[in-house]
Amino acid sequence: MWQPSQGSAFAVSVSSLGLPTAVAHRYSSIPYSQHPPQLVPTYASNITQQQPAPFAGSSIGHMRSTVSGQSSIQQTQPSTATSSNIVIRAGLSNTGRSQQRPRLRLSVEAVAAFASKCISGSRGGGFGTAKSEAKSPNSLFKAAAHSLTAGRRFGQCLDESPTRRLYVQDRAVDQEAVHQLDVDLPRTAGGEPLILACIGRIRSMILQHLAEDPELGYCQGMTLVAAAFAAAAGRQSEAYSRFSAFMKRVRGLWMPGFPLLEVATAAFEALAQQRPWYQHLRRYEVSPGMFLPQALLTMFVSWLPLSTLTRSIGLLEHAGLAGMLAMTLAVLDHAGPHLLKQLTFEDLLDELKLLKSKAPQPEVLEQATQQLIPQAVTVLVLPSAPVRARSQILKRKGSRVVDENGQDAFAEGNLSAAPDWLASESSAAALSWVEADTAAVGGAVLRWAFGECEAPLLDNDADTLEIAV
Amino acid sequence: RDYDHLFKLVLIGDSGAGKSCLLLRFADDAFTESYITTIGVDFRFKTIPVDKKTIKLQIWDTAGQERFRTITSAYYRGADGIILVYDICDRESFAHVDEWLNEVNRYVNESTCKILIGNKCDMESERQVSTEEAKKKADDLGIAYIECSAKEATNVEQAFQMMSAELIEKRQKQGAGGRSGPSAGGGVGLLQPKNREAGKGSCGGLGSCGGGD
Repeated sequence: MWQPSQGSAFAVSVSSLGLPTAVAHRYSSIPYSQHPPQLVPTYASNITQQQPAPFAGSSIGHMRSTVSGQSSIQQTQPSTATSSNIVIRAGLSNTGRSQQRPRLRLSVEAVAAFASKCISGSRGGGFGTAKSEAKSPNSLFKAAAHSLTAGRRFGQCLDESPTRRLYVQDRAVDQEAVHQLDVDLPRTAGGEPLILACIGRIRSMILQHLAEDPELGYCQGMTLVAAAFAAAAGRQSEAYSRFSAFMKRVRGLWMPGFPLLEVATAAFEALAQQRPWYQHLRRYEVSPGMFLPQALLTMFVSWLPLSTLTRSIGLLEHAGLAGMLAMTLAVLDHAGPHLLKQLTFEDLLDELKLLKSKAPQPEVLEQATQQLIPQAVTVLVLPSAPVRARSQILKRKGSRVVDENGQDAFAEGNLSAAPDWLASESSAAALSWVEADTAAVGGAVLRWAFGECEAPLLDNDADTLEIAV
Repeated sequence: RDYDHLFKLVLIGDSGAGKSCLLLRFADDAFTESYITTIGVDFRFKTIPVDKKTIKLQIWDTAGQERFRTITSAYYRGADGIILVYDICDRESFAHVDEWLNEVNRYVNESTCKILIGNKCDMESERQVSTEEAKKKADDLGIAYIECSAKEATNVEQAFQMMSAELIEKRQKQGAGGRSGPSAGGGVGLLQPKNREAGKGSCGGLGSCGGGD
C-alpha cells in the first residue's frame, strides 16, 4: 500500500505530522539523478548519505530520497546538519538488517513518512507490550520523533528565502486571485516532475508579484511562466527577480483585455505572412488566435519541453516580446513540414498540439530564435505616431477598464481611450511617449507596448540594434 | 463528406469545473488528473452516430477565468450548441450559471441549443448542489440538465448525444420549414437587444430544450 519508490508522495504524510509545508515543497524528493544539474542548481549540493537499507523486503528498503541543502548553509551550519545526520542514522540503522544495499538518500519527509508508518503500525500491535515486540516500534518512534524535530530545525536553517506558505503574502493579494491561483496550481505541472517540485515556490513567486503589481492581477498562464523561471534559476530569490523582471517587461500580455497579445498577434501575422505553413494554416481557416495565446501566455511552456525552454529562456529575457515572437516563428518553422502535410482544419489543430513532442533540439531552437530576433524587432517598431496628453484616469475593474465614473472605457470596441489607459498603466518613462495625439491609436498602442515592454539591445557581434525613440 | 451534420459546440463554465476533462473523456475516452489549465481556447472533434446519422462535432473548450472572455467570446459566435458546465462540489460555480448564460446570450441566438452539465457527480460526499436544485434551475432557464462524471465516464457520452439529437431535430425543422433569413449554420443573427418575455417564450416553446433529461 505504501510504496514510495522514488516519488514525491511523501509530502502528504509530512503535513499530517505537522512538519512545515515549506519543507515538503523544498524537498519534494525527486531523485537528484533525474535532474540535469544545470537546470536545478538548488539541488546541486545535496547531502547524500549512504546507508544500509533497513527493513529489507519492506517498501522502505527501496526508498530513495534526499536531504538537500545549499552548500553555503551546509558550511555555516555544520552542527545542525551533523545532528540531523546522527538522528537519521539512529532512526534507521538500529533497526535495519540489510540484505540489499541500495544507495539511500534520506530526507526529512522520508523520515516523517517513516514515522507515520511506525505510529500507525504500532497502534495495531499495542505500544510497549512484550519487550521483544515493543522494542522495535518504541525505539523507532523515538528515533522518528527526534528526526522530526531535528528535521524541522534543519529545514528552518535552510530557508534562506522561505517557500513556506506565507499567509502574510496571501493577505496582501486580492482574495479572488488567490482562490483562482490555488485552483490553477495543481493544474500547472501536467505531470512534469520538475514543475511539481516547485509548486510552492511558484505560488510564492506569483503572490509576491501580485502584491507588487496589483493592477495586473492574476491571469491563467502565469503559473507556467513562474514554473519556467523556478526551473531555470537556482535560488528562489533569483527565480523571483528574473520572473518579476520578465513579467514587468511584457505585462501587457496578461493585462485585462490582453493589449500586448493583440500587438503580438499583429506582428506575428506580419512576420509569418510569406511563410508556406502560415498560408497553409490560413487556407484551412486556422487563425493565430487559436494557438498564439497558449504559446505566449505560458511563455512556451505548453509548446516546448522544459529542458529546451530553460536553455533558451535567456533569449526571451533579453529580447522580451521580440524574443517571444522570434521563438514562436522558430518553433513553427520547425513544425512547418508537418503542418503542410495536414489537409483538414481538425488535423492542423491536432498537429499544433503535438508541437511539444516534436520540438526542435535546444541548440537549433536557440540559433533560429537568435536569427529571427532582429526581424521581429523591426516589425515591432512601426512608423511612429504623434502622441497625446492624458485626459482621464482609467482603472481596471474586474475584466473591464473603467473611467472615473465607473463607465466602460472601451465599450463597444471604442478604442479612443486606449492610449490613456495604456499610459496610466505604464511608467513615467513610457508616459512621455504617449503624449499628444488622438488620432493614431494603433501606433500609440504599439509604442506603448514597445516603450514599456521592449528595450532589446542586441550586443552580440555585428547585429547591434538600437531602437530609435 | 463523411458526415450528415456538422455542429459546432462550445464548452463554458467556471475555472476548474472540469470542462477540459469532460472533453477529454468524450473525445479520447481518457481521464487525467494532471491536466494543464486551458489558456485561451482548445479544440477537439469527434464523429458520433446519432439516430442512424453520422454527426461530426467540433468542440471548442474555453478558459474559465473571467479575463479570457475577450478571447473566448469570439468562439461563441457561430456556435450551434453551448455546453455550460459547473462543478457539483462547488456552489459558486453553480451560482455563476446565470452570469454565464447572460454572457453567452450576448453573442448567440436565444434559440441556440444549450445544456447544463453538473460535473464530478462521482464525488457524492462533497456535493454542494443537489440534483433537484440544479434541475429546477435548468427548467427555469428552459435548458436540459444532466449530471456527469468525467472521471468515471458517467453520462458524458449521453450529454453529447442529447445535444446532438436536439440539434438534428432543430436543423431538420429548419430545413423542412424552408424559412427565410440566416442559413442553418446558426448563430448568425447576433446581438439584437432582446425582449425578455419574448426570449423566454421562444425558448420554452422549443419544448425539446427542457425535456431532454
